[in-house]
Amino acid sequence: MKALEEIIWYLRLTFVFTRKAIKAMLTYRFSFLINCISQAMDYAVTFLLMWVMVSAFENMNGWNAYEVMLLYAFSLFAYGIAGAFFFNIMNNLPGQIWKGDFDDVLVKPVKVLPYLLSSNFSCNYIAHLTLSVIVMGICFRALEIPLTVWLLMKIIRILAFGSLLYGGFFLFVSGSAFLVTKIDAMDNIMFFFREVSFYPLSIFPKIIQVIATVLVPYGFINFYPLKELLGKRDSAYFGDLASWSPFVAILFFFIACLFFNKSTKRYKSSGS
Amino acid sequence: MSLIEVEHVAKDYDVMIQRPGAKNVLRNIFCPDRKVIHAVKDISFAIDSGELVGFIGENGAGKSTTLKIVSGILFPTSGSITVSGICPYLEREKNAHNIGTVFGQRSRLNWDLSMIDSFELNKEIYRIDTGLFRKNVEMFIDMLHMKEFCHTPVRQLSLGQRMKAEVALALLHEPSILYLDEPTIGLDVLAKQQIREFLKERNRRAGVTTILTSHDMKDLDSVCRRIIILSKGSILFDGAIERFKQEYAKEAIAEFTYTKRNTGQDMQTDSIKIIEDQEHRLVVRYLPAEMTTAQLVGIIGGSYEINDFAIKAPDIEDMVRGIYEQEELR
Repeated sequence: MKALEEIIWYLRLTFVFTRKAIKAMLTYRFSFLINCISQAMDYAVTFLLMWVMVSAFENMNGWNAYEVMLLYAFSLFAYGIAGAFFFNIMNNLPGQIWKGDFDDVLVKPVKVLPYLLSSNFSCNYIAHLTLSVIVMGICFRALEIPLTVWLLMKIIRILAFGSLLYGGFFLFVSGSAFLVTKIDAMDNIMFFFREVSFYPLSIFPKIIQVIATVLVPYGFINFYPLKELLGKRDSAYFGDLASWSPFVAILFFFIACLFFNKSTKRYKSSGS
Repeated sequence: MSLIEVEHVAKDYDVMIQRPGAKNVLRNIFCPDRKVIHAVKDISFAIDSGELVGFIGENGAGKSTTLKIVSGILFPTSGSITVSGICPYLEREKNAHNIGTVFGQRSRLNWDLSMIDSFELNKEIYRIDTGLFRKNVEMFIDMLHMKEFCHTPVRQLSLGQRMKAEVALALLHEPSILYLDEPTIGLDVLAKQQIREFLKERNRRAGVTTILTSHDMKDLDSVCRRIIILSKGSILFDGAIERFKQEYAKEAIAEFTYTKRNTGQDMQTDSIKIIEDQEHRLVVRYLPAEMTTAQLVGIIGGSYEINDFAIKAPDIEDMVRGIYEQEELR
């Protein structure tokens, strides 16, 4: 009961912070708008290129152009949801730690991670989400898959666990900021595998497939669940792992939270 | 039992040392040399509820580190601390309700928003009752003369305005302890004065135990009743500011103007030290306990044709400088 109260309190805090963040953003309206448009255009061009490429080859290891685009759209949507909560943390935390501004969080009567989530929520991911929903619509239509309630629930489930996995990656990268001064190496790994998740995992060398399944479980964000959803049979190294997705996502996210909380104990502040 | 009890606390920092030169690049990456810095070495003190305590110390003396340990930001390497009966770094959240902090070099305000917006965010974070919040905001704005800029984005405020807002922000939730690390650094006289008065008033009326560090001795002289002097991580002095003055105000400074110097006579004695002697101006340091003013003038008069002179009692700054100099020599 107490835990539920806490969650509600942090949700309320998120709402208050977001309202203030929007107020602050309105002073930089132009920058916000340009940011959204340029991001949407960036991803839209990637979609287009992907479609051209796959349709020229007709298929990619048994996945046709619409199916590959669906992979991309699912990954992007999950990334957008996780990004709204975690991206600012990953982006701001290294600087805060380096300059010692993280002190400010520690003198507040709040739990570190929930507070960071509340105070760093971002509305900038509307572009990602809108774009990926549009592409999903186009793809399901072209693949002649009827959107039943059952399918919709399945999609939501896949996206929810995908977001959780992405959240875990964000947390691992953010938490490492307490251990090393620069997190470039860590976020490079994250974004490399994000790139991998845009294509069918089965087209990659075996070693990448193993890493993306066992070590950094990107495969569970979109590849394995969609493989099952679309009923694909391809030459992937691992067979059908879709049913593992929820379990892997929850466990991975849990470990990421533990890692993050442990890392915060290593904070050394800085002189003034 | 005191409100704040610090017993044998030490804090070491582990720092990596980069070796210079291209041939050491790999070595720096794979097995960097480490050096342990003892920022705070075995300090103990106790502070009672309602006290106003100032920390003095040269840069790197361990003032900020001490404040950070007491406020729950850092873990000490050894020693024990209790603040109102709890351990601040183990029960950080509980302790945080009870304290307010102002770290002069960092801002707790959101720079894109107005001061009032940041206050409102803190109202949520500290779960401040709406009635109390309104009352305090109104009172603080009035006391610190903040009315004219309370709706301006913080990034457009002057340093003095911002610092007043920071101090007000730290006290909104009515903490029983306030930690301030160099709250008046870089401020003009008026802003300093207003902040000092505000701190004193809050201590008197709301009983806020206040602990501050400063390089401005006037801050300490006007706000604090007790000072703790730190040097190289250890406590050199801990006691009432009056006692400090009595103990360290032994030396006085005399300033002479003269027309001519009588050559050939060297008047340097053990009890008179020349600090400055140029352009017909002579500044000396002497011990009033050992010689009267008449004797002093007599000695100086033997070597100089004196025009005028003035005796100056040393202020705290002079005394502290004296202590630092002694420490440097050790």
